[in-house]
Parts: sequence; C-alpha cells; structure tokens
Amino acid sequence: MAASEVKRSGGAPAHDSAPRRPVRALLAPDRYRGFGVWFGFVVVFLYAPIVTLVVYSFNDGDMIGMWRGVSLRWYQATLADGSVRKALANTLIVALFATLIAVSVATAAAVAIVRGAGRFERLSERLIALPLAIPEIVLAIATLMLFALIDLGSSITTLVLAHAVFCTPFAFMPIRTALAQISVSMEEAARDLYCTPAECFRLVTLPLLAPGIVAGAMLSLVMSIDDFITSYILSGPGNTTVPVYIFSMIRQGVTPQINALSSLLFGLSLLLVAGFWFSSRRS
Amino acid sequence: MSSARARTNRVLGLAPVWLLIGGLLLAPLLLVVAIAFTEQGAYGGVDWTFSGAAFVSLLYNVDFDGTASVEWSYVQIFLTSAALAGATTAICLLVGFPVAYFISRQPPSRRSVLMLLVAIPFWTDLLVRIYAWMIILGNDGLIASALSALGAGWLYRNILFTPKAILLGMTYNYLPLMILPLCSSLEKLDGRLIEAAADLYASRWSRMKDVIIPLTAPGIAAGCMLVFIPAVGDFVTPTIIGGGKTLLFGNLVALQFGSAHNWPFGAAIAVVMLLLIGCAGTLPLLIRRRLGRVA
Amino acid sequence: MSVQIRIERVGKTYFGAKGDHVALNAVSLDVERGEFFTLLGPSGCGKTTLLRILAGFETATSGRVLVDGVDVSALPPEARSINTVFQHYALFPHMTIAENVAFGLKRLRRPAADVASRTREMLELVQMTALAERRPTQLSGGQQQRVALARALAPRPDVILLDEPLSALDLKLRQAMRFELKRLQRETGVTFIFVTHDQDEALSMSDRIAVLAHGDVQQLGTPEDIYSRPANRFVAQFIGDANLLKGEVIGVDAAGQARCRINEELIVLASCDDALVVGQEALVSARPEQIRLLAPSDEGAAGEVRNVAFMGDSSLVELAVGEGVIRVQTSGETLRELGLAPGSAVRFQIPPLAARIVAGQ
Repeated sequence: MAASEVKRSGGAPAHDSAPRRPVRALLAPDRYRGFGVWFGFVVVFLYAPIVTLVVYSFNDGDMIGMWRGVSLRWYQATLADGSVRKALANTLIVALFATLIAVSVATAAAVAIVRGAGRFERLSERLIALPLAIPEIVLAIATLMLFALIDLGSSITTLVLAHAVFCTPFAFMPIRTALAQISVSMEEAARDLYCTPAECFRLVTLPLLAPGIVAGAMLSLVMSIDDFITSYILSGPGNTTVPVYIFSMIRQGVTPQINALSSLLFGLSLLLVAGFWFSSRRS
Repeated sequence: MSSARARTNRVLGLAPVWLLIGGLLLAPLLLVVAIAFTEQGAYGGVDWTFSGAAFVSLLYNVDFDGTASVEWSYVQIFLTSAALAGATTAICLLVGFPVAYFISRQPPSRRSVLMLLVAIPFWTDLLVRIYAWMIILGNDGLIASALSALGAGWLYRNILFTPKAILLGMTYNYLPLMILPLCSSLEKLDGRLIEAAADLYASRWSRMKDVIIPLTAPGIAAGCMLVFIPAVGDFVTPTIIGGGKTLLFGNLVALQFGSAHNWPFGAAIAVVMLLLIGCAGTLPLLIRRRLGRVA
Repeated sequence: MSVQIRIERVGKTYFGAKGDHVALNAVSLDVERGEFFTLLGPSGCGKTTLLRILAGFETATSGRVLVDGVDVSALPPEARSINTVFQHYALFPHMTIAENVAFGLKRLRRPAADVASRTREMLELVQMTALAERRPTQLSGGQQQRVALARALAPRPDVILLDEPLSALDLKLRQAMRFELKRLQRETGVTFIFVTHDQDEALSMSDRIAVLAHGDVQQLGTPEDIYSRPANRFVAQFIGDANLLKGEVIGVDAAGQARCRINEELIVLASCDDALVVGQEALVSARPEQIRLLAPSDEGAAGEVRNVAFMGDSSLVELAVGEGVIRVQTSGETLRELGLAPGSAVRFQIPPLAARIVAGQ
C-alpha cells in the first residue's frame, strides 16, 4: 500500500492499469497446514468426556446410555445425602487450611528467592518444586508411614498438612512470577520516600503482589479439592473428601448419582480456575 | 540496610518452606528408604532390623524349605508400568506437539484463552475425568448405545477394563501436562528464526527438524517428565477403567499399605519406582547433550 | 555557596565468586548547595553506583558521605533527606498520581492538611493537576516523568538524585524536558545530582560536571571547561567529537601555550595545563567544527577529501592527511563554495588555541 503510493509520487508506473488477479495467500513460513484442525480434534477429545458427564448428570433415567429427559433429581438425591454433605464440608475445610499454609509459605519463600540470588535460594527453589517430581502415591505412602511412626492418627489436621505440601509449588509459581515483575526500584522508591522495610512490604510489595497471591491461592484450592490419591491413602472413615467418596461410589457400582456429584466437583474447579485466570491477568 | 540483616531476613523467609517440605517430604522419603531395608513385623508392622529381604522378594520367591525360585510377576508389573508410562509419554508428545505449536503461533491474547482451554480439563479432578470415560466406553455406555441405535451394534468392541483403555485414559489425563510446558517453551521461540530458516531455503520439514525442535528441547524434556512421573505411579486409571485387572506399580504400592499390609515390601517398590524415574530423568539430559553436540 | 554534600574517598568493590569488580575507586567530590551537578560517563563507569550509595540503596566498601557535615553513610534510605527520580520512574501502579506524590509526606507523618496542600502545590508545579486522580499506567512517558519529579520534590528534600531520568523518552520530549528540569531546579532551589551518559544533556543543563570512567573522576568542571579544555584523551573523545593528532612540541611559552608540529605543513598552537618540554611527543585534540576548510590556493595544510556526509544543518568531511584521517565539520555553504567532492584537493587550518594538548608523552 505504502510502497505503491511512493511509486506514484515519483512518476506513475505503467502497469497500474493491469487487471487485478486474486492472489492465493502464501502459508506463513512458521505455519503448518492441518495443525489448526488437529487442535480442534484434541479440544473435542479433551472435552467430550466431561461434557457427556455433565449432560448425563441431568438425565432423568437410571441407565447411563438412555436419555429420559432433563431432571435435577440426582442432584437433589446427592445433596440430600448426609455423608456427601460431610465429605463436601471436609473437602472445603482441608482445601482452605492447606491453601492458607501453602500461600503463606510460598509468599515468604518467593520474596526471599526473587530478591536474593544465593546458592541457598536456588536450592530452596528446587525443594519447592520437588513435590512435582515425585509420584503422588509414593509421597502419600511416605507421609502415611511418618504419621504412623509418630503415632499421628488420621485426622483433618494430618490431611491439611499433607495437602499443603503439594499445594505449595502451585501457590508458589504465580506468586513468584508476579513478584519478578515488580521492579526492585519500586521497593527502593518506597524506601527512598521514608518507608521502613515493614511499611515498604505492607504499602508497596503486598498490594502489587495481591493478584499473584490470589492466583496462587486459586490454583492451590483447585489442587486440594481435586486431590484423590493423597486423600485416599491418608483419610480415615471420619474425614473422607469428595473424590474419595466418589471413588467408593464407583467401586460399589455406577449410579447416576456419581454424575451429579462429579459435575458439582467439576463446576467448583471451573469456578476456581476462572478466578485464577482473571487474577493472573490482572497481575 | 546492612546486608547481614537482609541475609537473615531471607533465611527467615525460607525457613517455613524447609519446615513444611523438608519435614513432610524429605523426611518421609528418607523414612521410606529406611523401611525398605527392614523386615516385616509379625503383626504387619515394621521390625527394625536391617534386611534386604524386601528387595529379594521382588525377584525371588523363597519357599518354607528355603529354596528360592525366580518370581517373574513383579518384574512383569514393572515392565508393564514402565511400558505404559513410556507409551503414554510418547503418544502425548506426538499428539500434543502440533497443538502446542498451533497455540504458540497465535496472537498473545488468543493464546492465553487457548491455553486455558487446554488447562481446564487438567484442573478437573482426576477421578472425574476417568470416570467420564466409563460412561462413554462401557457396555451400556455412549458409544455402545449409539452404535446399537444405528443398528451397528456388532461393530462395538468393548475396550473398557483392558490395557488399551488404561493407555487411552492416561493419555487423556496427562495430555495437558505435555501441552502446557511445550506451549511456554514454544512461545519463547523467536518467529524470526523460523523465517530466517525459510529464507535460507529450509523446507517446512527441515524448519521443524533443524530449528523448532532443537530450540524447544528443554520444553519437550519438561513435558515428558511431567507426563511420565504421574503416569508411572498412576493407580487410579488402572483401578477404574482398567477394572483392576492390570496391576501396575501404583496398585502394588497401594496394596502393601492396604490389605497386604507389608510395609517394607511397599517401601522397596516405591524405592524402585523412584530409581526408575531418576533414570528416566537423566534421559532427556543425555538427549539434550547429544543435541548440543550436533548444534 | 557552601558545600552541601561531601563525598570522601568513596569506593565500591563487588566481591564475586568469579572475581572482584571495582565499580568505584576512592572518589572524592564536593557538591554545593543549590547546584545542578552532573555525573557523566559511559555505562559501567560507576556513576549509577555512586548515586545509589548517595541514596542509601547500596553501602560503600570504603569512604563516607557527609550531608551538611553529618556522616550519613550508615543511614538507611528512609532516614536520608535525599529523594530519587528513578530511571523508569518507579511510580506505584496501585496508587493515583496524587497518592504517589503524597506518599513520602505521609510516611513522614505530616499533618493531613499539609500533605494535601503540598501535594496540590507540587502537582501545579509540574502542571499535572488535571490528571491527579489518574493511575500511572494511564499517563504518557513525559507525564510520568513529571509525576516522578513532583513525588521526589514533595517532601522538600535537601537533594534530588536523578538516575538517567530522560533516557526512556523520545528525542523531542527529551529536549523539552531539559528546559523543564532546569526550570524546576531554579524555582525550587534544590540541589540536583543528575546521572547521564548523554553529553548533550550534561552540557546543556549542568552547573558543574564530573566526568567518570573506570570508577575514577576524569575531570571536574563547568560544561565550558570540559568541552574546550578536556583534561585527558578520554574526556576529549567522550565529550563531543575530537580529532586526536600525534605531534612534536617545538615551542613552549610562559602562558601555557605550546606549538606542536603534526607534519611538515601543519603546526598547531594549542593550550595546555601540564609543563611540556620542547622536543617531546604530544597528543593534540582538535574539534571537527573548529577546523577551517580553505581553497587549494590558500595557505594551510593539504588534504584530500575522502568522504562527505550530509547531516542536515552541516556536513562532515573526512580528509586524508598523510597517513591519517581528519574529520571536519563544515557548513553547506563552504562545501558549495569549495566544490568539495570525494577526491578533490583542499587545504585546512586549525586556528590558534582552538586545539588542546590532552597528553604529553
């Protein structure tokens, strides 16, 4: 466009009147034909089971393959069930307290690691990532053995502690990213303008870090609520969580009630992921 | 603003992490290693005497009269687990790479939406995801009903409760764990490098083989490890859509702390699993070193 | 005028695993009250390190800093009456413009009424009153710059430190802000210590300049001093453009002037501070704009035009003289009169005392 205008100003070229032929656009050098379609297939593959599950949770019928009209009866049945409500409450309590621990630990660590660059800081960062490098089943049985050895029976507290361990790396990642984006000169400016170190943290670092902390908390909540393996190994009869409850339901036989409870769990995760997404966009 | 005080503050900031993860991850892991070298107590507990019996029983079956015969069943379980986890990793890489590449070449605002789209299934409960496949695959499941409704019921082959179903389930579970690190590695890849390669007469295939893949090798390695680690220890997928017929590492471990109640043996299996992951973890390193030599 | 800031043999060494790095080498400087003082030097010369030591963000490894005779070396930044304008402004994004400006005053626990009136006054000073309730991200670079200045000036500090404050602005704005900075400094009477690598900024605004390189002060003086009487080869080359010519001293007089022979035809009368001896070698610096081009028929040294670069308001001519090359800046008029093109012969003169001896060898 610009080039043709320049040409015109320097004497119009003769081929201006040549008929315009539609040009087939070249595939950009970094594009590959078919990748987009493949992406579509994979998204369908990822969502088909979940969508099926949610749709069938509204099925009025008793059989999975048979559609008998929309109904909320399985949700009503599920929520009326006392042990489901107990499991739901346990899940939320464990998630909240585990997240509280994970976020506090991760924030303190992130501040130390991002603002310091020593060998100890690098080692600590590896330690935080370690729960991701070990199969959860190994970690769960190891924790079980430790608790048994020191005579700590199964309780909500032991579950909270175990959850906090694997929630910490998920809380840490967004907090670390947010902190790394806060320029050091921001904190220097605060000190320069007569802030004590404590005031500097409270008035400048923490408010700027807030979206990152919220994002970390959301991820941590999701990880805890959705956890099955650790809860399965560590929970006793009194402190079952929803995933563990679903597992026992599946083993007893497939009933539409599982669809409803699973859909509820999925909805809860979706809500938290949305919260994570919006807060991490803000930071 | 003395640097000694700043240092103290940093150590204080890191203390909680060491307390939490050191106390509830490092300590228990050391305990696992220790227990793997003890003997099973009379009532299912641990008898604190040093012994390699747990490891021996992975390979040999010692009869009451003391004769030992090789026990192949555990070796077979290990090989099945490693093969299933390895196959899952390979399939996830093949399926996930084009997806990650496609996402990484989108404008940034759309990219984050597409990545979220891939991430949502991962942030859903593992159990829920696997259970959903039961509805689809089962004898009275969605595929079976659909086919019989079309009068083609004879086409239906039930793969539920077979190793194929486990492979499908694991691929489904861990695919996002492959795509997401690949995405973050690919989006850092400077598009001008691909254009430069095209400018220098590289074909589309050569651009992929000689530029894109070598430059994203760290992301590929990270994705493979993130898939392999949970896959090798997975015991939910084999239990639910494998129907518990195919025993894997994870089932074996869980069993020792459940009905079998043999802690030293369970700990020994866990130690072997960690060693296997350690070996698998050095593999990408070796590949990267070779790639580094070529490049 | 009185000395306000005394920098006494301040040194800074970074101790690292791969070896130590000396950023500052026992620098001593006095800054006077109400002065516009500039630290000028290339990147890595230690100017930012010195500024950060003054602000209290870093601790010197040796020496001390006195403000009005009081040693402040051990004081944290919040205890120093010195405020900084950061390179990328470092405005707090979670606060409005007015909150940013009021921030320091609030930390000093000033009464609310004082905070409000002083904030208003500062916003007026930098003409940002209309945008007081905006957030920093909604402002342009130049506006952010003004807010950063207002924020630093609001607590009435003794000294303002400015760390390359104009480097993030585009050329036009940068030039406009020079006058603005100078005006603010004059109106407030606060001492400004300004760090830059841009010689034009330093020359156009400063009362005095300290040229830094390799952790040492190379020269301290007024802009005029530094430009026309560079103390050494580094200063001559760093400030403006300079032809450095090797020659032999053939005569010295009592006023510190020396006659130098560059070649058979070219003898230069140059100023010098050091004692020189007849017969010794010397390095003579001559600015391109001070060399006069003449017609081949005139009297002067001979050269041959190699290249002519058109630069808008003037042209830069590259002359081959003997083995070497001399750059001459000339007007378009001269260029046309002499009909210069690559290959044409020309003569040139270096006027008496336009040159300076920067190193006796």
